[in-house]
Amino acid sequence: MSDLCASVRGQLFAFARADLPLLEAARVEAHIRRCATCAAVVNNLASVLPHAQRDLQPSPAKLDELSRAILVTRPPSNSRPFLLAGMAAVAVGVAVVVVVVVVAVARPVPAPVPVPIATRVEPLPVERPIEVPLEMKRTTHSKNVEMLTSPGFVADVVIADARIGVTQSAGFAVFAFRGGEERLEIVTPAATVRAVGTLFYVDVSAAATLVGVGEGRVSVASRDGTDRMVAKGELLRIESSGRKMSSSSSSSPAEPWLQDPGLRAFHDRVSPPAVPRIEPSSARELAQRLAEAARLSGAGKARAAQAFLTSTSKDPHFASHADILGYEIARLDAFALDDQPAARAALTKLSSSPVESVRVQAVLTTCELDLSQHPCAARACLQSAEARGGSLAAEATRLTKRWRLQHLACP
Amino acid sequence: MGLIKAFGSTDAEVVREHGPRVYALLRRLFGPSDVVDDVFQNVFIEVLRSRPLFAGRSSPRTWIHRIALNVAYQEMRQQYRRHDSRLPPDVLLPENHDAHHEAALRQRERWLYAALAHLPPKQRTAVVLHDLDGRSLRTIADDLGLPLQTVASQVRLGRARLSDLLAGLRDPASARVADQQPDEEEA
Repeated sequence: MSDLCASVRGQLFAFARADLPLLEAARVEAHIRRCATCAAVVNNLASVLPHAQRDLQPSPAKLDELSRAILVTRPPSNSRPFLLAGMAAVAVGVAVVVVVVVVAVARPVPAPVPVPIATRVEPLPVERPIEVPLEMKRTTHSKNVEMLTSPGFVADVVIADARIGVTQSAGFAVFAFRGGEERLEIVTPAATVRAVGTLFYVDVSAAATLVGVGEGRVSVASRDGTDRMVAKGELLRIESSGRKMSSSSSSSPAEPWLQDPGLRAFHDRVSPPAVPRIEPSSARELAQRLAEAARLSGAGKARAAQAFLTSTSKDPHFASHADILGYEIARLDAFALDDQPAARAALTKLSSSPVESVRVQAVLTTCELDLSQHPCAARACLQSAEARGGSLAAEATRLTKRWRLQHLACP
Repeated sequence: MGLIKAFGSTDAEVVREHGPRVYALLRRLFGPSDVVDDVFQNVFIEVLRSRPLFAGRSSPRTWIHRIALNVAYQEMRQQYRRHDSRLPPDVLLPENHDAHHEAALRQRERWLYAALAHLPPKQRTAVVLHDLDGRSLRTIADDLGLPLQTVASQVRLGRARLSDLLAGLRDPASARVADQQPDEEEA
């Protein structure tokens, strides 16, 4: 937690909903421009809120399934249909009541308890044997992950930034993971499985997720937040509700797939070095330096971040990025070190930078500084930016709306 | 006759007619969780059991909606009590790539609902109905049988707590200690 973040405490959700008063919204906007964590929270909320607000009607098949389940388990109906029909049924009813009473005395009827849908529709034994198919498909998703998947395997695989995310909704898969600089994470309805450099399988059914480990170990976090490390030879079962885990050390029917020669050969190959290799590109190194500065600043060490950026800007290797570094230093001056004169001087110089992104941001940051003094000053600043045209004008228009300045009454 | 017609003539028709709306409400309240199916069953078991007692003072739709909110509220209370002091791993901030990929959206949805599950039930209900379901504060106040100002306050407190949870600023254990008093008072 950063002290800086305290200034927007409790406001990120309302900001992402665009439901904050003008000045508070401006304060949050200013904060998230320099706080990576809060910016990520707002970005994630902004992308997920429309998704969470979508129409959530069940499909006809789903409704049928639920309806059947209810009608099977519902209590005896005590509804009153039509009077005549009811009277006609009295005689039969009396007879039925006698029989019911006799049965009830012999064996008490428990109160109706909802049964999980999957259990009711397709009864499964508690220890369902893993149905290992005869034919498996072999896929390689990166140089560090090879998979054998069953015909019923359903998953989305996302590979980005040294992270392989598998959202597995059904079926059986064996994973050979060689570690290295990549991370492998399998998300099932019941749990999240994180590989630590290993050979293991994940089997997802309606009732449970099963995780078995052939080599190394995996970390499993059930949906209710229980963490568990699964070691070699262990089999873990997580109920689909995510609330119950049980493990056994007995060998499972999936064991032969853990001995698959192809996966073994893939797994046993020499793993790549764990330390990521830095690309020779100075742009990539610059991104790393900026990230480090953001981390320092986020940890309340703005002076250290500024010193770090200043030393980087003096490195000839980064000579072509001097304006970008100068802009980041100016932002630290403006919002973390409260040295507005220095910030304004630097931003004025950078507003004529040959680098377009720096030029645009320098002008907008100047307007942001004006906003902290008076909204009308910010509006005048943004209006003059709009007059300059190009991408700067578009950004200035966007900020005018974002800061809700368009209807502001100014002298 | 009128009531029987309004409710559908058979139990199956009641579920078919009102099920989609109730399911959508529960899915909104609980997110991508199989708890939705269990609560859905509980709601309609209660609806079918109480159907002969329906007095017709409101429409069947409103009556069933209130039963659904009551049953959902009981489940949320249990969830809230059950949660330990740690946020589940799902609540960790998702990485910021592939923002529009379906799997990434689902991950973000789990992240959001994992944090929502750490809100006191009344705040959770108010925030979900207002901010995700788009209902007005007045409608929510009528549905929950609470004063308008109370609902507005629950939305405001819930949003603030949710923001801090998502930003990792608030330890749910300490939040819970602070929440217990008002929640018990309201209960």
